[in-house]
Amino acid sequence: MNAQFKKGVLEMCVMALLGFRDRYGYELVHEISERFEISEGSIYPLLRRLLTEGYVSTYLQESVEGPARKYYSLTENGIFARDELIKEWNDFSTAVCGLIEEMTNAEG
Amino acid sequence: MLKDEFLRQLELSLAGMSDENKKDIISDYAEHYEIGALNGRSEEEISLGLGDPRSIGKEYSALILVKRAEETPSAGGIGRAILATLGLGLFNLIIVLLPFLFIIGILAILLILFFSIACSGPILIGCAVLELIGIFPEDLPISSLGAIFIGVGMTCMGLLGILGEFWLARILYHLAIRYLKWNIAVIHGSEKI
Repeated sequence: MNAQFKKGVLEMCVMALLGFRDRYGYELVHEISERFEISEGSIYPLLRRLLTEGYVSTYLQESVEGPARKYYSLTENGIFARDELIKEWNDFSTAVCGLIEEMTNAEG
Repeated sequence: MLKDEFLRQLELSLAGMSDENKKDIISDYAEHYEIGALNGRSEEEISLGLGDPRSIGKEYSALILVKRAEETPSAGGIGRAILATLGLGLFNLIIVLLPFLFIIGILAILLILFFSIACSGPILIGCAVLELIGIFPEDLPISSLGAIFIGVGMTCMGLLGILGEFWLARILYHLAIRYLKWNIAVIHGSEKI
């Protein structure tokens, strides 16, 4: 898929996943790459950007196996931004799907 | 590529960043490798999934420089932020550099214009005064008194123009920061994200 197109959507997916519960970086990568192909390395710069924007906060938590993990959690600002993004996305995708459906019907 | 080599290349491409930021970023990727290993993936496999460490490093650099330019506004800061954003890909050369040069050009032309207007005011007043007291023999095409008024008007207009331009530059600065942030959020240097 077109890289520029996907990168914009990735941010929304990360925020949607964090809205459900706190997660660590690897977990986010794993959840998303099960659904569509991403370059795993691009999640971390994205998380850092969300952190500097104040949309997420982080904390370290020990795990049963392996090293302590850095968990990301959506802040109040983040929840607001996520809702905005999802609303914009829904409006946009409804409009695009409607257009495609109309044109397909007109052709067929 | 093995873990150590990946982290080494990443660290090299983060040059110029504070040690604290560097350590933080490296530890994110180290954690990624460790959890990946627990999930039974080899270091080679994880590196392949992560992508090119140098393009990851460039993205962080652009991110931090734009943030810095936003927090402490300076012409040098925004310049560095723009250069770092340019480094994210060839495509950016067109959609970042061209608008930026265009804006700088317009601002420079306006500044020269207002500066000349502001300077010619006092010169006109000077000539009119000299003519009024009879030292300056050349006739101005308008009356001396009229020339003084026009001179004052030009000086004020030029100064107002310069003030207005500083105000315009400040707005453009904030717009540029917003544009760079949007650009980093959407554009990725490599083909695959």
